[in-house]
Amino acid sequence: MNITQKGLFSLLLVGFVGFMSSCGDSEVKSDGSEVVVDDGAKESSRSENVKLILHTVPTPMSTASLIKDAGADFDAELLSSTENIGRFHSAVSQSLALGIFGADLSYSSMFDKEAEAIVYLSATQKMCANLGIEGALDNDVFARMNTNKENRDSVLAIVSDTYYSMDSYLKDIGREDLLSLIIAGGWIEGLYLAGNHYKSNSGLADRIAEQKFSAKSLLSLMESYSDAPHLNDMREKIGAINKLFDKITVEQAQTTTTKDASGAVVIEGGSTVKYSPADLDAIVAAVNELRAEIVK
Amino acid sequence: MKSLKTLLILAILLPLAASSQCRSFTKKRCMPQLDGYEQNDSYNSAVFIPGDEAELLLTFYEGKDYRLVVCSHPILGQVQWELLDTSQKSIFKNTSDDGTKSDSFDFKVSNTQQLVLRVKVPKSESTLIHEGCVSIMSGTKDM
Repeated sequence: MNITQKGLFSLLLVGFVGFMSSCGDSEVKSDGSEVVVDDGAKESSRSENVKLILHTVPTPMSTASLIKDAGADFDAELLSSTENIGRFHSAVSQSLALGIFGADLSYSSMFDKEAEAIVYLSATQKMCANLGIEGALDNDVFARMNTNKENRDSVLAIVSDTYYSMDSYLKDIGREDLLSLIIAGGWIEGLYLAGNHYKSNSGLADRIAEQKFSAKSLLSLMESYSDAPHLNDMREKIGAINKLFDKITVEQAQTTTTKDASGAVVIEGGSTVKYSPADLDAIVAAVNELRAEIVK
Repeated sequence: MKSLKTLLILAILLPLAASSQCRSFTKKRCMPQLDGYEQNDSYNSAVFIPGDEAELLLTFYEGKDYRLVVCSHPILGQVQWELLDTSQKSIFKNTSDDGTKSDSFDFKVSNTQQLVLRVKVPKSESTLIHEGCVSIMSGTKDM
């Protein structure tokens, strides 16, 4: 066996051991070929129980929906530039930009702006390629977008699927660190868009103040990767924005459950946010500054 | 040498296929349960073994119809989940006294709410420990 063959054999052994340790279920078809039964279950190598604390941050589509529901109009001037995507050099800046493009894709789709949506879908794809995560997007996403561009519900479903694919793909390949930056970029852009609409649309003020909850979740998510030094800078900046949200107080009313005329369950009570216009202005200004720093 | 290369490619690709265990499960078995709703939170899926627990804090905004789905692999048995307010008052349980079980909960909120979702996988008497995926998803549609 020459050197190349030895190296290849070692790689094969590593790959085989990896396969045996990660895959419990397979079946042999009648033609003798083996297929992985990817049904979400297998024998576990773990025996100790854990209590998982999961973190969830609203998707950019959710924030875009809040902006639209408040009666705001689409403003193309607010969108980020997709020119010279190569200006984002590091994995950190590329991940944040990917989050921002994803939020602009959601915002454009929410307001039925197909041309803009295609531009941001393309930018998302290019940024995935730059990050080396091309597999995060389905191959047929552009074909599906073009076929369904007249159908808003289908477009929104495609954009949601795209976000889901990216999210789950990065978790599968163990790059949650990049994912937390993408989520941060999307959250910052969503808040930037909402913040720049709220001056002309007071209905958005409460929705922005309520991002106090998602700001805390995002910080918890980023803190869960405390061993990732490349997240330090963004973790600190999200922490600083959280401090501004601390000025917003929450009054909690007792929760009750009733049914409306259609028989649907309605949860009443809940949170009421209390803040001054200056509190919101400070948050919007800080978010604008951070966003400008990311997209420069 | 050619067959060695083929084996090498297979050996590298197969672990990747296995690692997408939860993604594939969620896409095939869970996402259809959100049909008609827009998914509005980041992807929350994890591999559980019997006896595991998880907690998740979720925000629901006024003016929306919500569907909350907790989708688990049958190998984990009857996974129990409960929605509580932040003072730990129970709002919804997926299992009722008569033994019926639900994977989803449809509701509206009259005011923005932060609610806690608690998931418990039942313990198992089996000596062979199986793990399975649990996916938590919430979706909205306009009222």
